[in-house]
Amino acid sequence: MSESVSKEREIVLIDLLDRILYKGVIIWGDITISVANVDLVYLGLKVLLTSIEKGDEMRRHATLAALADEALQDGKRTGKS
Amino acid sequence: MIYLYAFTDHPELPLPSLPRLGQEHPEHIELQILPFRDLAVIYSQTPASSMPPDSANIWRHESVVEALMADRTVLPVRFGAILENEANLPAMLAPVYPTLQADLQRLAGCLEVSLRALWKAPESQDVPALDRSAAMSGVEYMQARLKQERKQTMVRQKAEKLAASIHTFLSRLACESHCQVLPIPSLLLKAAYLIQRDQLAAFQQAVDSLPTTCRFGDELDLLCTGPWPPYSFTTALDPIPNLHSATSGLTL
Repeated sequence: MSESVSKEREIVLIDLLDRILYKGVIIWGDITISVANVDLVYLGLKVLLTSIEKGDEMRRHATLAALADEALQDGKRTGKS
Repeated sequence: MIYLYAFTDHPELPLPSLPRLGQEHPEHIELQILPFRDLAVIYSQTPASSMPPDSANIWRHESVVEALMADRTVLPVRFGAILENEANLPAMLAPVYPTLQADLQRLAGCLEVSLRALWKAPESQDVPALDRSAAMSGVEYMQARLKQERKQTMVRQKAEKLAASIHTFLSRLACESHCQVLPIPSLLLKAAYLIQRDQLAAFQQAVDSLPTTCRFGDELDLLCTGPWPPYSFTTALDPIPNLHSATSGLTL
């Protein structure tokens, strides 16, 4: 995939996330999704403005943070620390 | 459990056939429809009590909403809305029905387009911080502060003027619009436009003509995406608590 196509996909994904996670009808409950309290859109723009490699690195960090959080929650559920 | 995608008008319309989401996500989505007065709730059964916001789930949600958008007006539901079952839906819909119905009428035939203008103006990044370690008299410090403040004000005024010219030019083609100027220093304008479907080509042409119309040359990078379902133009409702919802981290 060329870098420009890859960047276009990033841009579309950022706009999609900005809408699907923060806008639209919400009738029941409070849906909150964040990555380490950083606004996803601004995180995404930083991805756009830096290199694709840097973007990949940021995504890996986000994934690792999510996995760590999940593991922590699992640990709490099973009584582990 | 049921997962909600959208509210639509025309509950009598058959559900659309959904495009495959590619080799990565070949699973079949069995959509269901629950008519409620003159609107419809579109949902699918799900074994999960929460929906992680990963790539597959995000694109599945969007694909369903976009497929619905092809032949009806949609009010897209925010990602991650899961309910115990459909039996509770009518009671939950009743109090918000007037708002949903008004939104469906207001958004009929409309699409959303996103525009971001990334700013490369060197002076926007070129406001030096005061060097507090340098030996300065009080007067020198205040003069430096004043100079810095004036420069920041000048940058801000230039940004506001440029953003206003872009937004005014595009808004004339839109039914409604939202915009933020300089939400972060490198983003001059972040805007969403609600466009009638038959105005989409004209809007695209207007975006293409912006560098010459608003005379910014290569100062800005414009990022325009869409058409999207009108996520940014649905009315905010007071949510009822205790919905099962997606709250886990992003894993794209």
